[in-house]
Amino acid sequence: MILVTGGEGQGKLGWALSHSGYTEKDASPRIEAEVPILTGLEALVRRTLDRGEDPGLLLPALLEKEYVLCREVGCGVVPMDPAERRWREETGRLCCRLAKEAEGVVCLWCGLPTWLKGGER
Amino acid sequence: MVILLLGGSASGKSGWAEGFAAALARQNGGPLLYLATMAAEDEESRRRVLRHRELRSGKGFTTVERATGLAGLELPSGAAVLVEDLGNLCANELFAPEGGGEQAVLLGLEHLRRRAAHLVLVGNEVFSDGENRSGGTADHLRLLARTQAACAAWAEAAGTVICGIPLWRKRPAESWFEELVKEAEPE
Repeated sequence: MILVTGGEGQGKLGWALSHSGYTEKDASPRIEAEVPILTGLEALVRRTLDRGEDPGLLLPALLEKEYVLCREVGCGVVPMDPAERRWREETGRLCCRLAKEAEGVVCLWCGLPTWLKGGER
Repeated sequence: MVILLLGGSASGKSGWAEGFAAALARQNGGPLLYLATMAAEDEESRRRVLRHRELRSGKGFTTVERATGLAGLELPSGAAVLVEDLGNLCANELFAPEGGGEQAVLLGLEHLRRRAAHLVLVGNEVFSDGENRSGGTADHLRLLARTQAACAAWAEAAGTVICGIPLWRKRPAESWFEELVKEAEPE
């Protein structure tokens, strides 16, 4: 599994598609979809928290994917709302755990990939 | 040496900062200090403090709590000092009744830089959420940005931790630094 992170609109999906040769139909925001690319992990974490469930339980299913895309959501002023803070932290912690297990971690910035782990460093 | 590590929330920056401070203290056999700048005034802050304390336990840190006035802090000689974090320090000096503003932040850090054998600074990556802020928040962000830029200028190594992995913006090219990074890597 390659974890792909970066801010909004920085080219995560475009990079994953060109790196893999997959097309958009191979990507889905739903964890149960039988496709190799999961998009929007940050939104999945939010939906999981909204249901009162532990996002850490997503780990095994996420490791089954070839690419997991997660928007960086922890780099702003700390929000006043405790639920927003919790979401940012749970997303960050899950990404740290995924990065430990991942064969590659890539950060996209202005469409440019930086390999933080594995790949063509 | 001075190391500056930024990161977003739950990015894994603390674990790396602890690893660097502990590794540097092992190298020179000096004391290992954790300088906590957060004034824990509510339940959530207290839980945060407890969580960090647990993560640090067994690593040999002596914890010093100091929200403001770092320039007046007495340090044992040869210490490796971890400061966590610059966002809280700037907020305290700006908004606490006993705070001394920008000057106190910079004098405090300058003092630590001169007295500590090694200084590891944890900062915050908070400048990219697209919001236009005003008032106290804007003052805080500007002070934090200036403070972190000053620290980055002093630092031999400076970078951002992303998903638990450091991305260096500045670092020594020599192999000893590579070794230090290996030794500092959190479990």
